[in-house]
Amino acid sequence: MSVTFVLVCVTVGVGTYLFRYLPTHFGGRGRSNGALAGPLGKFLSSVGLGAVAALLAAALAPYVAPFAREVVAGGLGREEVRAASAALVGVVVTVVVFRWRSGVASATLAGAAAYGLAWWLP
Amino acid sequence: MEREATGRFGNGLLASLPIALAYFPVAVSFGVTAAKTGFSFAEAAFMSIVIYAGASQFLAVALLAGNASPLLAVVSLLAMNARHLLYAPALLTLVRQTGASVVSTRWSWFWAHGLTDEVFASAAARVAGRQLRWGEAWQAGIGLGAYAAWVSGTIVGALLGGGAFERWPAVDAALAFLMPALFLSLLLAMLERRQWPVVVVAMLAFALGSALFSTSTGILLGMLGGGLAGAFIPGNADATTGEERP
Repeated sequence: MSVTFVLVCVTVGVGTYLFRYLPTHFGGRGRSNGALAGPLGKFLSSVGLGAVAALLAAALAPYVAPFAREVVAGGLGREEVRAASAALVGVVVTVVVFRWRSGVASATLAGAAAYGLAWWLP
Repeated sequence: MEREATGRFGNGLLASLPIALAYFPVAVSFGVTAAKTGFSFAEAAFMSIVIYAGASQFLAVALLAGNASPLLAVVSLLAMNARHLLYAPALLTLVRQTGASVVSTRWSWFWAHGLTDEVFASAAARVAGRQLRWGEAWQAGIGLGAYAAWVSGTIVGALLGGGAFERWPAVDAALAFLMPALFLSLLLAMLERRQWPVVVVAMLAFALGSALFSTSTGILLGMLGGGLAGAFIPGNADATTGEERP
């Protein structure tokens, strides 16, 4: 393990920890219920949903973006169609299983398994 | 809706199970990727223990294996993780708005390391859905369970080595889809009908940010765009106060 490698990891690790730790002293401690009402309170309570929506978009982008680029360019590659259609199956199965079981774990596993199966089938 | 759980450590550990189930295989594939690009078992494990941020670890492997300058690597990776700045204030605001009179953060130095994207999203979903009386012990439990899965998965992947999934490409593909499936499930757990504008604006902001700059900038813009939509779009009530609930 080189010194440079250790320094990069420790600097990024400490920086990321501080990103997570320092703001714990803002936004909650000691205030009574409703103290952060108004636009700032609404902003912070919607940031979570916005984050999950953006993270979902980022996670799906590698499956959708190449397919969309091919469509715009006027051609369709076999791999792009394969990944995008398998992702569609994965998304549908995740939603259906979530509606059926109301569980994050079962929906996640079922969605991933459905994606793998759809990707593997000819 | 599930019954409201108390904020005990054990309940937090139990709540980490869905995240751990998704983290472990993704961490295995991180360990395999690190081994494939020439990192030792100790280096892969060290990265997961110290950095503990999935996407930026994959980027770190690519940058360091590609002999990028250390300064560029540090700046890129920190910029990628800057979104974590908003997680604690957002979570603690949700906790307070759902009825906690005083929210202690005395032990945040311990549980903050575990406040990843998925841990934050899972905690926020339970608090917003009123399924949890949040407490620091619960937060420590969910964080520790997810952390253990990530570190142990990395170790298993690094021990398996670079060619581990070459014979099972469908398994490799399914493992890669765990993260989109997890985020979709968490979104479904958080979402109420009147909050669709937040989701739409966040996704559009992500698309714009990632097309013009980078994926991590897109995520940051998506968070901020979603927050602004929640604050200023008329009719989109506060997510948790219940003031405008039907």
